[in-house]
Amino acid sequence: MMKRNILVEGNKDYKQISEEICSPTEVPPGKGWVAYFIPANLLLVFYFCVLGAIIGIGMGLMGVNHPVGWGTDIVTFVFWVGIGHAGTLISAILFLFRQKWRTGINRTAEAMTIFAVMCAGIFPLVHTGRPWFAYWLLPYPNQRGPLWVNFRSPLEWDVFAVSTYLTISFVFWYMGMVPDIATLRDRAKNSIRKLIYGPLSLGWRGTNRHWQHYESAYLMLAGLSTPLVLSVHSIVSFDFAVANLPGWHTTIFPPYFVAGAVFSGFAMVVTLMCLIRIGYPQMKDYVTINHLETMNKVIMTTGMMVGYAYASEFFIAWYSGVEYETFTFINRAFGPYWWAYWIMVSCNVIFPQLFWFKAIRRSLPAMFVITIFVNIGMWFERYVITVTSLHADFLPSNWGIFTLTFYDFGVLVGSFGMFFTLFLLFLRVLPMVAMSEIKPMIHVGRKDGH
Amino acid sequence: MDKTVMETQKFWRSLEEWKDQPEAQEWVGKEFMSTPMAEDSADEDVARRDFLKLMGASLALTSMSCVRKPVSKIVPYANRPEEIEPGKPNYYTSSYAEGGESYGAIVKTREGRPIYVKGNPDHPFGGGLTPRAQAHLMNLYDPDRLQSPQKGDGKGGFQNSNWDELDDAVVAALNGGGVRLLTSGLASPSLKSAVSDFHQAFGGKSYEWDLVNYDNLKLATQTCFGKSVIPRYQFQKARMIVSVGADFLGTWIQPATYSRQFAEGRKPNESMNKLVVFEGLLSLTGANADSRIKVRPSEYTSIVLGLAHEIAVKSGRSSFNLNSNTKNTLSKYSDVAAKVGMDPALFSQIAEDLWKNRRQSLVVAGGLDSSTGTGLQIAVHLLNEILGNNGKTVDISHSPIVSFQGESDSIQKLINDINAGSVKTLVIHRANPVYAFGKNSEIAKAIESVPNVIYIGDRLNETAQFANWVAPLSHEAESWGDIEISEGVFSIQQPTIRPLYKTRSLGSSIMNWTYVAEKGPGRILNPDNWYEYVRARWKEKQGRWGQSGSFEGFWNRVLQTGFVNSKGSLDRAGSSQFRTSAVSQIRSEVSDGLELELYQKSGIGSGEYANIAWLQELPDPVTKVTWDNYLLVSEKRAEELGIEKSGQIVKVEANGNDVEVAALILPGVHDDVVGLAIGYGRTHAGRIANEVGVNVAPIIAWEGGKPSFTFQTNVKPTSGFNELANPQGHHTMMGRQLVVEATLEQYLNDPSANIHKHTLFSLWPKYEYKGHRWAMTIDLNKCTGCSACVVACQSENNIPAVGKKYVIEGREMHWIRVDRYFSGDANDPDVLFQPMTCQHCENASCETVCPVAATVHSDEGLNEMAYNRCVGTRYCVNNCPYKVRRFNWFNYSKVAKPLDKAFNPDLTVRSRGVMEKCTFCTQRIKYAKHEAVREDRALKDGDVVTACQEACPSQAIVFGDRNNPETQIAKQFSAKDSFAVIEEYNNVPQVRYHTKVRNKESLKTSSKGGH
Repeated sequence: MMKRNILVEGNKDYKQISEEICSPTEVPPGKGWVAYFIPANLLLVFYFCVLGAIIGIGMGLMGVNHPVGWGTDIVTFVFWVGIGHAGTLISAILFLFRQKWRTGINRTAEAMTIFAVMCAGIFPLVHTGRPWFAYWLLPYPNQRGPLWVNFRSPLEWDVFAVSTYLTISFVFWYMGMVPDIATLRDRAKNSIRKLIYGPLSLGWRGTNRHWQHYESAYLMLAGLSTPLVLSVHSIVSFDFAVANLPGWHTTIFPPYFVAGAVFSGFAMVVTLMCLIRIGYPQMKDYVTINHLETMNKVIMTTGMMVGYAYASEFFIAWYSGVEYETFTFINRAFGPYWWAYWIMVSCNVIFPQLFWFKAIRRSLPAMFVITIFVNIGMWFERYVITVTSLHADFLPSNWGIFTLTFYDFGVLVGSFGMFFTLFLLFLRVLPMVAMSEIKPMIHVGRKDGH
Repeated sequence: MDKTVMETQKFWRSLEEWKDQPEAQEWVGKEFMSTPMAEDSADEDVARRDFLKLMGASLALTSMSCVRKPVSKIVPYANRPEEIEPGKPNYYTSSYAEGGESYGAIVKTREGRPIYVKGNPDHPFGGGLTPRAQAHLMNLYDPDRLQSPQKGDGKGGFQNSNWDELDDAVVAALNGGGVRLLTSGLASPSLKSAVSDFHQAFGGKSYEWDLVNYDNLKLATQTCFGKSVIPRYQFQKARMIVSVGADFLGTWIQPATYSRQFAEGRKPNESMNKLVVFEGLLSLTGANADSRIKVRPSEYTSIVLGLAHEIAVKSGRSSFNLNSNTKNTLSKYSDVAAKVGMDPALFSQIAEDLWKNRRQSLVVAGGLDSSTGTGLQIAVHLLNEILGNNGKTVDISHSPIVSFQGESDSIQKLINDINAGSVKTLVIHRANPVYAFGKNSEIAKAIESVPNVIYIGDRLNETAQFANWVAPLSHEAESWGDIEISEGVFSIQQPTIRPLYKTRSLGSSIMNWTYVAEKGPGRILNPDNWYEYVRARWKEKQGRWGQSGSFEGFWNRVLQTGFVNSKGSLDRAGSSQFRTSAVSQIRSEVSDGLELELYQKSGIGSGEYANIAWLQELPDPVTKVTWDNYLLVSEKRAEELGIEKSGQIVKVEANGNDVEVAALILPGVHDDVVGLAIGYGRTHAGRIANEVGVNVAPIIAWEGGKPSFTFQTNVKPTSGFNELANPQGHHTMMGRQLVVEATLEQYLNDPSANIHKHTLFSLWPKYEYKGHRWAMTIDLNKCTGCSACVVACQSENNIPAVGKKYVIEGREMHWIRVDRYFSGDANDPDVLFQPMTCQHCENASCETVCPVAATVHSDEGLNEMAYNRCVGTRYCVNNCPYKVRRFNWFNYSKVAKPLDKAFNPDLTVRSRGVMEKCTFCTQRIKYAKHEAVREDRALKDGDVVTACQEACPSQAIVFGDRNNPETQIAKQFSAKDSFAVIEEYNNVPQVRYHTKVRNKESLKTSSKGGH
């Protein structure tokens, strides 16, 4: 029989696991956590100021113009939605495929997903000219006629895709956490903790019936989330693919976007896991190098898929014979935005190739740097798609240049402040590894595998 | 606490004490403002017709961020003036005149506010207007206008005063003798007589001066024909037109009139005219030429004489008996073609074409130019005489143009007078020589030395800085006037609003002063006001003009039609004996250095209306640059001079002085010529115009007291950089079928020549249009690119100007823009223009992608935009292949008061964060429909005229209901020579274009084949 890699190292018992995973939420924060949290929080405050200025004074503060009607906001929206892919993919799809290695990272990955989608969700709101009317995108009975939304618009589809994804991901994440929260409740030493974790654990007692229901509900939600993983980024890609702009109007976009999303999401998970391993050394036993290596393999694979898509776009642009398409793609690689294009290609296609080497795949510093590059590359991918297609389209007289302003940088950097604030809070108040899923993976009481 | 705050916050203990406050004293008698007495008071800033009575709009709230909608209260007319029906426009005939350029106009007023100007279609100088004529109304609402008389210290310091004080002081000064009056050219016969009355009262002399005048042309006509007039050219009759440096479609004499005439002869048929342009820079006229030859300005005269030589001497043909002296003179110009470096065969061909079309050809010459002297114009007269054009296409005696009264040597004469010490009081009306010649110029020093300087103008401009008294001038829309445009054609100028401020017209000031001084002839002392005076002058002439009937009847007729033509048909042209002796006065010296040609831009002109933001933001028709003047330079010359890219600051040295200005590398400019526009670099025009661009005054050459606009120069690059605001991104068509061009021959063989048609099909059912179906065609063959439509659209649709910074950032708001493309050789390109506006596509890309259905398709084929529904995702503009949608990046509708009064109340101003675009003037469609319903009839063709269509001088735009087969649009829309832009995307635009036809053998680009 082929022996699997050990998923939890350190020969732990159940008590030890509970102790190690629960303790970060039970002791006062360490210096490391505070050192991360304060800058992240300041960045969040800065983010709110920047958003306030944009909403209060006008979209004109940002670099968007005529003809580039979408800029940093949409680029960063797609970027965060993409990152939000990894969590549900790890939890749901890998769960369905019985990939047990997921247990070490699924909780954090899901948390990351939810926070990333929350970060993403802000952008479509603030990128509108009148965010105070953004609720008009929701189809609800109203007194204005009633005026209905336009179901033909991909942006409308986005509203449903992203909000559904956020809801399901959240329910999935929370449900998976119920047994763990119950553990926290049981371990609670003071009444405040009891008061918080008590209701949150929804009266979990860990009876057979509870487990039975829990397992089937979890499986069902996993089944529900799986198509969403594929649909949400497909639909986000429709924002571009359904439009008739050269460089946007491409049938390859849905699979290409999904692959890209998994790519960037996994990269973000690896980056975060590296940080967790540094910040919480006890987690090294749960988030092992083996986990990370597997992730890196996925990153390399999806990176090549994305690379294939880049090549294929060029081929189709030439093969279609459409002069506008051909121009757009040549202009992407060699026009005024050549630098963005080549940043994208090198970060997304070339650097991940280093993961062919096992040593690099298993080296924390190497993977940390490479995954950050991947995310830079993926941000630029969306930048290239959005900006280079818009800046030079059909009528040459319209052509223009988009440049980032202070406010563009502000929202981009600020959104990381929001993300990290939420993520650091999560690490403080909720168990960052799924104890109830980890425990069946260890070898307590057994000499060898089961 | 600050002292002033203490004062304003003083408490009062009793009513008596409160009443003693000066403010309270002021309120007395104004408390109950609704009595007619109070309104008629001359001291009142806001008069009866003022719209504030109607709308007490409070825009203050909009300044708070996050407040989305301005809260406005409306108050109905308590006592409605009889002629004003709320919601219904009133139209008044009037005229526009700047310098001498004059057009018959119709002013549209709403609730007593003039808000829009269009050409008077029945007027001989009506039809379309120029951008400046279209925008000049905005000067009325300019926040930087003077609102009351000013007392100055002669050094630029001013304090508010009142008319009583000013009149007393002015009359005292005038009574002191030594009076000189410097006015801008007075095209108004009534004002002319008022001025003569003024001199009868106070003695002295007057000088008329405008920076832009056509003195040389007048003088040449005087020399050749004995009459100091500007010939009235009739481009519509000419089949062969040669322009030597005259930008008659853009800025020369009467460009809007000429555009209309030119377009008339431009129909692509056997008798289509041919335009050949010789010029140094690339002007709008050059851009429209069938054949354009680059020459230096100093070669203009020899070009004309060379052509005369080809015809009269070489071929020995002439409609006019040339004497041997003339022939000898011409013989010196036998090798002009070789000298200017053009193909001699082409030169002979042009001469041959001119002769072939004798009596129906036309030669015009000279730009903004005094330095080429009268010689150039004499040569032109001679050439036209040889061709037999005088009396056919050139009218010299029947009804020539007389509206340009300014004379370029007036300034020198005035300086001489002042230096001779004979001037004690100088009254300046409108003219602004201190700006034109610079604040260190002789004229500035001379004016400064005059003891009493009285300035009559609408703002404290550069010249007014030296004034002891400034009498604020009413806008044309606030005062009565008249203009004699061509001899015997008199145009009336009706006021359409009471003066907004304490201002007076020149006529009324003269009347006041003669009245206070009790001097002058009875005709100026007796009438009650300026209106009576103007009427009296017209009454005197009624008989002379052959107008029968009672005066009241005649007067009413004039007010209705806007003009009197006492000359019969203006199709006629007359000439008189050409004096051959004139030829001996021709001088022609060809220089060989780098020549600087100063020119006018059609938006800014001489700079008088520079404070109108619309004009500053109007892209120059040829360069497309806004908000700046710049040194035009060819690519080759730029390379030689070391100018790396457009926007680099260069030092332009000439006549012992220099200015620093950004360079603009433009294809089509002669390698030995650089160009710079006048009218920029104002220092005291107002908040908009001040410090925009560079004033060329320091380097203008003076020759015998006359300014010269063409001279030798040295250009040196500097390290400075000034980014030019060019809203157009790229300047070639990239081989795409955007503008279709054909030669006349190709077109006559097949009107759809060079149009690449596509077989298109759709899976979806088409829209059904059961009622009207609005559509537009734009004839690119007629369109000259003048951009009057852009300004008309801004005026009609409340479109803001955003400023240079935001044009650079790509936030300009124009609903219609004129795309300009170069094709062919980069040194000698063909220029193509394409007005681009919302195409109202049947399968509109924007409609499907709007998530909130804010932009929808109407059952009449309009692509409608519901501003209130828009949340501003900008998806629509991203998906629009034409990128004609405009987004409100900031709150643009908040404008400085009283500019808000210029808003068209028929449509809203747009709030921040919403998309806007051309609506096909939907408010006009609605209005026409209401009118038709009220009159119980069907809509007729021509009931709905869009603003762009109305403004177009060459009538290139046709708009109407496609579903009615009787309409012009229905025929035009499916014409064989029509095409849609990016047709292959099957957006099915409801704006189609007609092929641009060039009357020449071959095009510079071969059109692309199919795919």
